Amino acid sequence: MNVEYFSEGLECLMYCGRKLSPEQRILIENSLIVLLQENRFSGMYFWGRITATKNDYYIAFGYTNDCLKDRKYFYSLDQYQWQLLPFVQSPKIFQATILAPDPFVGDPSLQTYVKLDPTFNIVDNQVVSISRPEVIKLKEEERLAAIVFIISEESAICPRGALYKMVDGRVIPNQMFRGLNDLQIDNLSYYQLYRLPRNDLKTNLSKRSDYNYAIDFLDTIDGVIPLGQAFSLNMQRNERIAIIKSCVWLGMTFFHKLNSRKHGFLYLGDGRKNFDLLFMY
Amino acid sequence: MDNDFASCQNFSNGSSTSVHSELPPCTKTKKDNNQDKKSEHGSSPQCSNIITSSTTSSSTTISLGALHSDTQCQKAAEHEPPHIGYELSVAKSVLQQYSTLSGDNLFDHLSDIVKRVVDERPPNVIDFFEEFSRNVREQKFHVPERFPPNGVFADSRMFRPAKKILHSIKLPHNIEGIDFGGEEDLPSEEAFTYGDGDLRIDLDDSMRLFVTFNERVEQLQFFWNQCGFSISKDDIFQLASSINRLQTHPSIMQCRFWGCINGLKGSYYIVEASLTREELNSRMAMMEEEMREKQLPFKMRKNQEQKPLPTHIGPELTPGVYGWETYALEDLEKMTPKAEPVPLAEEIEFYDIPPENVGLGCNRYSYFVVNCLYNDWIELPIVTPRQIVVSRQIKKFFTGDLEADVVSYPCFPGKEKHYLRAMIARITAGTHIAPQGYYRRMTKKEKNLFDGINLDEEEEVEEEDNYNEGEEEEIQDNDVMLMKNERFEIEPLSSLATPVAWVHCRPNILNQGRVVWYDEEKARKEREKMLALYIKSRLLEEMEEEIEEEEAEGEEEGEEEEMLEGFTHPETGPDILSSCASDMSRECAFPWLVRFTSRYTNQKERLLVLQSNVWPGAFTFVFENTCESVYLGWGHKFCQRNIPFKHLAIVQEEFPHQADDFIEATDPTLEDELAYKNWLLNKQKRDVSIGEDINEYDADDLDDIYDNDDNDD
Repeated sequence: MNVEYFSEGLECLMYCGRKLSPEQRILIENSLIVLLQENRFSGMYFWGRITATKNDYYIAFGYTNDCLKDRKYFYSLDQYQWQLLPFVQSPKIFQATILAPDPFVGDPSLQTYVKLDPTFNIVDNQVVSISRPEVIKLKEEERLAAIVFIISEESAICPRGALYKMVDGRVIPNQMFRGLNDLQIDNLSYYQLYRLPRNDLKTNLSKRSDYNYAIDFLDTIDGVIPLGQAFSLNMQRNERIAIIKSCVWLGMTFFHKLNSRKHGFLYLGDGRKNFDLLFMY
Repeated sequence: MDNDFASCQNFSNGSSTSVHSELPPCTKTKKDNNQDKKSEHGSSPQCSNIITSSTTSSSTTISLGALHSDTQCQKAAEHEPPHIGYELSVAKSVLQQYSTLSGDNLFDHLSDIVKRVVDERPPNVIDFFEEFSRNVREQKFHVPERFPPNGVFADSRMFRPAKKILHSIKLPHNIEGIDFGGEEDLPSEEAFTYGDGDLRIDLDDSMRLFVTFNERVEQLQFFWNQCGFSISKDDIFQLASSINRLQTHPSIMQCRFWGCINGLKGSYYIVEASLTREELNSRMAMMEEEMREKQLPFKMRKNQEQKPLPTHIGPELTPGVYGWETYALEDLEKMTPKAEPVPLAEEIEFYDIPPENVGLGCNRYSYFVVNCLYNDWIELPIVTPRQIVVSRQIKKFFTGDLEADVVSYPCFPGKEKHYLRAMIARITAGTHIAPQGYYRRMTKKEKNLFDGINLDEEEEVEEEDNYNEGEEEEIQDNDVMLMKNERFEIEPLSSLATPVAWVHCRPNILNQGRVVWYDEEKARKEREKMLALYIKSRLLEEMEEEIEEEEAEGEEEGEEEEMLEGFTHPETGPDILSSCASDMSRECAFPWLVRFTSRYTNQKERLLVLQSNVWPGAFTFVFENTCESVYLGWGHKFCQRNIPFKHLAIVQEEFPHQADDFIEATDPTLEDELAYKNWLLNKQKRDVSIGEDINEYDADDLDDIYDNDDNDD
């Protein structure tokens, strides 16, 4: 959620039942503005909170040039000082993050050991061999970085037209964006995933007849698997605000105001994926 | 603006053939903006006519086409080829070529864009030029002046909800006048009905002692806001007024906002209410009757029903009179066939643990839900132990529709409203907590008062209770309503910042799905006995014999058996008011999270929040004398990875059989059938030739055969 309209955005996101206490709000808003200034970012966003047993993690991100590619993530325990989240590349860490059974503790330097799932070697419907489950050493800071990355990849949303791809390939927020109108606002195909597209450009463009190269390069959320079950859309406040909640990452909420450029997402949760989703419809 | 204005002008003039190289004087007086531009362009006289004409051209499309060629001819006549004016007009004519698809031209579009940029001054327009240009084109036909205001008007999205909200608020008209009048009249009325009023006040007073709910939502909203969880600010006023609507209902004693459960299509706002004693009693009476009926052994219930008889008389079902063939067809139809009844699927008795009575255990409070706060509250049904047990094995999203089916395995007995009710019961039992000493148990006196027992009977009843149910008292103890402790001392929050200092203030639900343990074994025995008695009495009725002595013996034996076998240990769980520190959960290592709303700054007025990890979304806050629990979440219990769903049962075999039970044979072919028919005919002929005495009989037989065939078809 953009820091520009921080408290207004929080009000809109209250439909998930949680928000920040006044102290947290003031601290975060102002410390993020300072962070924006110090890093010379052109945009600063509050990402959310991950509940931990001792201290909660607050996450924010900013960008200078490209709002998809060079996002920099920060975390904070006291909502005052922000530290850069490490960049995680190892797939093992991601795997361990998804499987880690314990909740976050709130100590970034804490080391835990996570047992990965055993891998099965299957040939012709027959299990040929089973490898022993691997044990991975996981630092909480890395785990946090990985979970933040996964959650924002899978469930961060923006309305169609909010991001604009420039001729040189950079993606920036669209200054001309005026919001979805009342015919578009309750249609999931008008919302896009806030990440670098994974689908082919042609696939994304061919989804709609009125495609626009600069806008429709992102993946839309109506194609997220499981189809039609990954997000739930509600209209609130006299049907003027669209609220989209992710069913995969419970706690991820997105709002968009009708005919206004204001939109944003926020994650307030414990960083746990909902693996039961397919059984829950 | 210019365009529209120009267009207006065109319309007013009626003809657009006149080129506006200069605007008529009336326009200058009207538009300052226009004038400014004019003066700017006035500096370069060469361009002036181009720009002004552009303003007209953008609006009038077809007429200008003709006009354009005219001007060109004129210009051509005026100037020789190498002339700036000529070049400009050529370039303009190129730009002004109309698209065959949309009827637009580039010249108009560019001038529109330039105008928009100059008027609106959007930032970095060069970066978004394509988007901007697209926007301009889109909006070209959406200029409000272009359409008559009453041409097309679609309902706004907001209209319907707005209307509903207004409807739900329903202001009484002329509030002041009538109200004041009413108040003035009141004293005299009171004087008349004082006797009645007195009685009523008495009743109310006795119950008012037991009001422990805090129904002031807006006050609580303040605290919730401080704590960092709440429902939306706009909704809270509506919630308060709709709770107020509910509260004024005569059968409701007290109610409080329980929380909000998210659904896929809409969320549920839930209010917890306790009913007045009269309402409880009337409901209890109804429920007891129903339960008594259900408690009856299945066969007894079933025997009372009539079994359906076969609906038609076929050849294989002979009517009940010998020699029926001689009767007329109409009479035959009236006869009851003397046949075996149609075999029906036999229902196997399925015995459920009975739910707790209204006003007791899990059903102590009733819950009202609503999707939109401007709708009427809907009461949820009571919860049965079975629903609770099954709801523990499944995990579903709520859809927001109370009547939706719950598709799950094991099959959930009920609709979504039952599931919702079961989840509410479980969440309430798990997450409603309070600091130690905040609540207290009722004293005996209060208890009796609460149960509505008069003072005179009180002692006797108490004694009886002591004698009869002395053993059960420990179990009964859990199912009580707690009272606010008047002597609760406000403790410093820092001493409360540990789960040890907190206790559960709602009774635990046993694995059985009830608060008070129900002896299934005993009930089963009783039902068996009842059934045996019943069958015997049926037999007696039929046979009318006297075996009473034996019966008596049998009964005694049964009782003894029961005494020996029927002793099972009652299931126990944590008591009400047991400490939160002893909460145990295999999944969740830290059941409770403790947070202060302000860690650094506001030490004096900070609140303490306890949030449940087992039920994410359950919060309890405490501030001085206020302690409230609320649930705002999805209604799912925490699980570490995924919940262990029950596997489907192995597919049953259709019919247990051996290999020899069925012998396969090939179907007869057409030839075979023809041959058989021929053989039959031949046989018939032979019979006829043998003797005429048996003729009739044979004919009958054949008839039967044919009848059979017909029916099989």
